Parts: sequence; C-alpha cells; structure tokens
Amino acid sequence: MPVLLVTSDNEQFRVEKVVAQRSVLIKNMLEDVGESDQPIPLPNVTAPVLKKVLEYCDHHQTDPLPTGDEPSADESRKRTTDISEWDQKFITVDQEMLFEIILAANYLDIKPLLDVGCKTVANMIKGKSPEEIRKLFNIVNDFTPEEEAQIKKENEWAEDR
Amino acid sequence: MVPTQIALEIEVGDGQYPVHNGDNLRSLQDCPVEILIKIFEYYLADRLNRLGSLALVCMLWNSIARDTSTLWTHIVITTPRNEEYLYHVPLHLVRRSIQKSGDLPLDIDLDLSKIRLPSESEDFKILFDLLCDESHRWRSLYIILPQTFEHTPILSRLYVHPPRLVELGLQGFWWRRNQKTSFTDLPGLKMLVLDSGFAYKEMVTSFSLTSLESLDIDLHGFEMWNKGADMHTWPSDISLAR
Repeated sequence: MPVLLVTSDNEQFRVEKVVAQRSVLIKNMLEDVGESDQPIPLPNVTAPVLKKVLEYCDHHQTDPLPTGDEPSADESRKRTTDISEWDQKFITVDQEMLFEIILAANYLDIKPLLDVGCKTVANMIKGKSPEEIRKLFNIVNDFTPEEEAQIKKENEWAEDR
Repeated sequence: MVPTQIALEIEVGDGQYPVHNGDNLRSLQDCPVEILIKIFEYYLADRLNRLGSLALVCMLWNSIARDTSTLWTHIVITTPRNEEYLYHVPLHLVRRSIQKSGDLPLDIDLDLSKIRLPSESEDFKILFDLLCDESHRWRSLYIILPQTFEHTPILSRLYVHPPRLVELGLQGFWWRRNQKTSFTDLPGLKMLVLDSGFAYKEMVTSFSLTSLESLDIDLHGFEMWNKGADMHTWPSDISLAR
C-alpha cells in the first residue's frame, strides 16, 4: 500500500510503504496510526530534498534495516569512511544539498544515509588545515588571537601532521 | 494541498528542528552538535587525522573537541609531517587522551619507525607504563617498530593481557629465537596483522586465540622460520592462516 508524504513546501509524494519505512520516523508514525490513508506531513523537509532522500531509500529498500544489534564499540574498531560506489555517486551534490540531506536523514531517522553524509563531510575535511576548513565551509574564525594562540599551544605537536 | 493543521496535530521528532521553508541555505554550522560529533568521529577514524586541526577551526568546534570523550579514544604517535624523525614521545597528549576518554575503549597506533630515542629511554618507559595501565581498555593496538635499534625491550614492556583487544597489528618486528611472545591470552581478538617482520613459527602459533573462528590474519611481507630445522616456512604453512 502506498504512503502519501507531504513536504514543508506542500508537495506530495506517493511512495511504496517499503521505501518510506526506511525512515524509522515514518515507520513509527505508520505503526502508530495503523492502516490509514492519512497523509504524513514532513515539516522539516522540502520537496527537492525529500526527492533525493527517497531516491536513496528506493535504491536501498531491500537492505536489512539497522537492528541495533550491530557490533558494539567494544567489538570493532569503530569506523571506516569507505562509501560504496552507488552511495558516492548519490552523495555527489553541492554543499547545501549535502547538509540538507544530512539534516533530513537525521530528522527522518535514516541512519545509513546519515552515515553516508557524515562520512562525506569527514572526507572533505581530511588533510585540510583549520584555515582551509573554515574557507571550505564558510566558518568564521571567532577566536581572539590570544585564544587561538592558547589552543595552538595546547595542541602543540599534535596539530602539525 | 494539505491543511497546515495536520502538521501541527502530528508530533514529529523531538521538536528541536525548526520548520524549514527552504529559503535559507544550509551549512555545516546548521548541523546539531551530535551530527558534528559523528563527523569528527569519522574524521578521526583515519589515523593520519588529528583532533588539533578541528579544535582550531572555531569556538564551537573547539568546545566539541575538548569536551567529547569519544573523540579522545584514539591515541596516535607518529612522526610529524614536517619532520624527518621523531625525537621525543608526546606524553602529554597520551596522558590527555587517557584522561579525557574516561572508561571508553582505546584505539592505539604507535608508529615508532622513525623514532630517534634509545630503547631504554625514559620516554618509552613512561609511555608503555601509561598504556599498560589502561590495557583493560585496549580495543585495537597497532605498532610499527623502529628499525634503528634493538627493540626487544619495547616488546617486553607490552606483557599484558588486554581482555577487550579486538585488533592487534605488529609491523617491522623480529622475534628472536628465545624471545617469549607477548599477547598470549587474547580472548576477544578478531584480527591479527603481522606485517614486514620475522618470527619463528612456534612464536606465531603460540598466540592463544580462542576466537579463532573469526580470526583474520594478514601476513603480508611476513616471514616465518621453522625453529628446529632453521628452514624458511611460508605463512600458508601454519594452521592459523586462512
């Protein structure tokens, strides 16, 4: 049975339940309301972003859902920033869309998509100096010169590699 | 069109995100702190990246870097990018990581390949004392041993039985004939990496690996010798290699 999703800009998306349920938020909503044709409002997601998110959900609709039984931090060295080929291509978007996708994945509770987004940003930061990172993401350096000098001193030796 | 009140009637999320009308462009600074932490954790997963670079970006990032214990679980010692050799061990950073990471599991990467310190140096003693005191927290340990001096004393300082160790990597090591192997009781070990080294077969097989089923051995560049016959033997010759 298809599900009707409504974005913040009042666009409607009719999608298969199995696709929509990649979002834990939507899955829980559907379970709460039971069988219903009531549209599901997504006030934090615009149509272009939801379209992109649904593209991801559609491609990954047969993936096993995260169960919470994944290896704990104790059992595995924690993280790798490897991204699959399809996901890499999918996430090759401009910065604004990248952060929209990350925020939407967080709001909709789609952990694998959130991971792809966070890995992508981490890979963008790699090998860059603080100044290069600021420039890349348009971040203002709000340290006073004294604060900056103090932090440099605290991280002396560690920062320069 | 869907009436606006439906949106108000259905509770979504935890309410921390304002309704977004799409008029303003999103940036990294719009991300909640928990997402920034997640990004930082992925960034630090690469052994070449350091928290110091993030802490110097802005005050928000500095406070996240300073106050988030999960970002301090990775202890890395390597030669600075602009230096040819490593002349001292940054013990203050090791102490800070140990302190700030609380009780969380530790991932330790020691690249001592270019260190210029005698093996009996006080720096080494303090370093390994600090690390061994936390051996109950070790999750992974990778060591690249120095090529320039006899490093048996380094390995002998690591006679511990870290109960939570999942990954162990040793590179550039040479186990001598009568040298006892460290790490002989590792109930949780999933991955053993022996790279660019030399050891007698009996030393490798003396690893007591109760988690053998999930063991993954990378024997790249590694040589073994049969102790009695003094004959070279190939990694595939031992039952541990798969």
